[in-house]
Amino acid sequence: MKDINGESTVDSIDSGVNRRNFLKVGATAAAATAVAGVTSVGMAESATAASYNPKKFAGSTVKILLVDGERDQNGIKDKVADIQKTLGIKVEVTALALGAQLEKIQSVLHAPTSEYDIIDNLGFTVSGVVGGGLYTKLNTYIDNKELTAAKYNYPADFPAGQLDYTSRYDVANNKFGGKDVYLIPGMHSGSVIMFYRKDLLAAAGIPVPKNWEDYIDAARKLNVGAVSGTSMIGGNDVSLILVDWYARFASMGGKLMSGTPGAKNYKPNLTGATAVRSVQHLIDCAEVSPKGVGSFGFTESVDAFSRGEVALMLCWSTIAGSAFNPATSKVASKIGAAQIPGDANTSGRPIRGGWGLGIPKNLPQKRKDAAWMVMQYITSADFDKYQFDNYQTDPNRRGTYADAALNKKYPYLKVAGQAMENAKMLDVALIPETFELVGEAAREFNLAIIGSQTAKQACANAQASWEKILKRAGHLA
Amino acid sequence: MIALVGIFPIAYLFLLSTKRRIDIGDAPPSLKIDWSVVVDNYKEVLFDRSYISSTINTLIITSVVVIVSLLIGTPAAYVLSRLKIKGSERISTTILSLRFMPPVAVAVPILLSMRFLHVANTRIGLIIPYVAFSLPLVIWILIGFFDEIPTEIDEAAEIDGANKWRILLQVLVPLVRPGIVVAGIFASIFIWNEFLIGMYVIDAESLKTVPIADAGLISAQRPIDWNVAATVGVVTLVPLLIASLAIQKHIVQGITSGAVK
Amino acid sequence: MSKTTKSESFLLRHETKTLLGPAMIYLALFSVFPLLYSLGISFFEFDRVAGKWNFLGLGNYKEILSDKVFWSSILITALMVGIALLVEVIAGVSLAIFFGQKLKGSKIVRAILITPMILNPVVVGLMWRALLNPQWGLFNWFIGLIGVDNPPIWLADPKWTLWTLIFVDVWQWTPFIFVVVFARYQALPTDVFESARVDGASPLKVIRYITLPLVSSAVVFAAIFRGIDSFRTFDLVYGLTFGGPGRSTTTLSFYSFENGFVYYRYGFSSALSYIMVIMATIGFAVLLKWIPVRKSH
Repeated sequence: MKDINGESTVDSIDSGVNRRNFLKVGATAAAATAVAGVTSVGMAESATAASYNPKKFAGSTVKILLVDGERDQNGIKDKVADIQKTLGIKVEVTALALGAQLEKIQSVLHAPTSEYDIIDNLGFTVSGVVGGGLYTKLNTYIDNKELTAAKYNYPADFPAGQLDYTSRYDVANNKFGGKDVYLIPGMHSGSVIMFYRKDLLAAAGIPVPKNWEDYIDAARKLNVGAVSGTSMIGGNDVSLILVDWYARFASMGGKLMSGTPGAKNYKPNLTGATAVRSVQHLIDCAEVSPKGVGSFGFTESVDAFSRGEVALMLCWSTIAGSAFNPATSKVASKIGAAQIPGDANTSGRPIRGGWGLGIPKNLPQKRKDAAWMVMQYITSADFDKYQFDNYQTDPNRRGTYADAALNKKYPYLKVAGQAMENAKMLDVALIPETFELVGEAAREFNLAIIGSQTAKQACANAQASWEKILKRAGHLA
Repeated sequence: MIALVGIFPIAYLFLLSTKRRIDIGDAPPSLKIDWSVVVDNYKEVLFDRSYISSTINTLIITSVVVIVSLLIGTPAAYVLSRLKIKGSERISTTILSLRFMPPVAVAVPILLSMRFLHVANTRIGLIIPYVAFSLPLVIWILIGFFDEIPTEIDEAAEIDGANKWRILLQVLVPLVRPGIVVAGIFASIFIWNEFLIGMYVIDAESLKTVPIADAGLISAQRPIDWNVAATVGVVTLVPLLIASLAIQKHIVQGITSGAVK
Repeated sequence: MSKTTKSESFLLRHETKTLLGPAMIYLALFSVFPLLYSLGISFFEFDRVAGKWNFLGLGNYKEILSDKVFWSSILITALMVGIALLVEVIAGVSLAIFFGQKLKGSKIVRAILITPMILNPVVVGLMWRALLNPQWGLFNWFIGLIGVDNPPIWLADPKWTLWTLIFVDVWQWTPFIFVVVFARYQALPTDVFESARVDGASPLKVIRYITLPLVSSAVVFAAIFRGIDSFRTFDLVYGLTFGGPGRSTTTLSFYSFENGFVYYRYGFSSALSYIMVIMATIGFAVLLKWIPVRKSH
């Protein structure tokens, strides 16, 4: 994977990226922007060259479909007037609860004409909807200098791994990545980072853990008095897998699946040593977690941390907003953020989360064109910074993560950006049965956390469950 | 007393709605009330999350549904209860068994039918299925009340030359009034809280009913704002509470006036 | 006989049909049709990627019968519905009798008592999640006051989760039984009680031989309705335990919901729902033979 200057950037599947690479890429991207900016100014002066024409589709209305509950719609709603002024386009936003939104997307994409012009797609669903050929290819739009501002800076300003998840897709071969762009990362991305209590670690003289052995050691040492060493989403909840288990599994170098979907050899690897080790680590951590961690959802875990009852925790970087905010966290000034631990020789690989905005294929050309203008606006660098600064949803662009002013205000921002570079996509996101698989695994691992079965049993049960589902779906013989 | 168990969670709800997010987790919560926080919480629920508009929507929809159900259901109950038409037992049992179906199974067909009729995402799109949900309940409650009235009254009226409609409207309805009220109340309660169908039929924010708006309280990636949830609970509870207190007077009135002996 | 208008004579001739008709037509269109449609779906499965339906014949049903979770959920559903209903009926009837004694201020207490059943399902779920929170839930604080330390994790201990759900269900729906029975109770003629008192019967005897038989039709009615409803709803499972831990609280209705709306296996979910309906119908038919649901004419 190479960026526009031919620099080797993150290899999305197997190796991690260290800080140096990240900064190098960021600097390169900034340089590229400067170059492009100079060139476009020069070009604007020449009368014949096409230049960015924001008002080309003025007078249209663009309808956007987002998910509710993540504050995705807030920034757009604030900027409706500005969009009207800059692009001359009226914007209408609909935000639905996740289940309803997914259902709506299905019906809208299969209708003769789509009701919505821009649709936000959960990463897990990308292989289904984009792979199903239901979205418009965006390459021509991006390359079109009249429709795309020079400073848009796609793809360099986006984490490379994210582009191979919620942006580029190889429809012919049903794989993520490739050259064809169907989505732009937005409205929010996000990965998992580690939160820790600076004061507690300092008092006990423990450095910030860099690998999983150190993590559990630190958690045990810090499990004193009213404070629990660590916490997790231990309940019967998909986030158990996404946040806590996968962070360990991927960082320990685990490979979840072998084979290819549809080729009848897509086999899960949940009984391997790495899988069992990661479940065991969860069990060990549960012993130094607050009582009842086996019933913890996302909220309970974050609440415990924000109340000061937990020393170390992994969580989606989006909660950093509330954890560092004195209005919602009693320990706002005492916490730090870092990359999740890695293993002996690798850095941490948290899960890659995120959404991608797309323009449905079943639209007349004019609506698609107008949609692109708005899409550009809401995925632009300025808007990304605005949305983050006001609503603390995870940024999509490297520029935002690296922004000095924002970093001063939100000290965890750089860490979150790094996580976005290192993050690893969940392998099974390739098939529509993702929810079912993750749900079943969550049930089994939850039973291990509450002590009803051992790590080995949990993994064996999950493996059996997954094989049954995969066989039913035709991915496994 | 049992009353305490019932009331306690509700009192907790009220109390929680007055707290800031950061104070949740104090066990037991302090009883001190900071009114500026109260204003903030209620303002967010009523305005930012538009609970005023969703409550009005729910009120409109529930009222229409209940009225239509009662209008259609009362005569039906009358027939099934008192008129000896063949198969009335079977019909009434079938109507009751319509209620066996889990809403999960009919949600998708209903959604598709409403789209087919082009009333998806409108109030009518909710009213139509909701009436279908309420009819079995209403009919069965009313059958129960109709059954209690001795048939001599019908016979007397018939001798006087009244036809069935008149018997129903002028003689029986006044007697079954408490039944109508009870049926209306129960139908309202169930419709007020229905959310599975609503979530899928309604997209527009301005048309959301209260239960649909509630779904916005939960999200996979943000901590639940317990205090806001509690405020939502209070806001949705109070109108119904007031309404039921007002209705109670009528029930008692209806029952005592209907006890013709 | 007075002259009747044309429309009046139409009504006269088709009285029964016009009285019963609208309801029947409405139900046929909007109740029966979705049911049949859903039955149809149960023989197919929806392919989300291709956006089309594949015919499976009895495939879904075969899969269900060999599904371990299906069988365990039957047991769980039976337990949850049965025990909750029993407790709700006993509590509801007791409350109705208790309140029948027209104590002061009972009207307000009554109004407050019915609040559990009028709260939105999401709010109820969240509220109890908060109350049962292992760290700061007031439920544990409360029972701590009466000396119970180290309570189990209500929502995560497989030994307790089912009981927790039953408890919350009882809290929420006992008022329903109470209201129905109480309305009946209030409508009872007072002379029977008067004569019993004159005869010197003890309160317990009065309850046993007079009150209970007289309100029995209401009790049966309320129990049937509550039973049916609790059979087909899943809000509490969804809000509190999501069927877990493991499958210890997965009821049939939740399982159907999970497959349909979380995993998008609409065909499978419909088949599950249909099996539920068949079970309920058989159960109900059996019940009808034993208990007179309606007062015999």
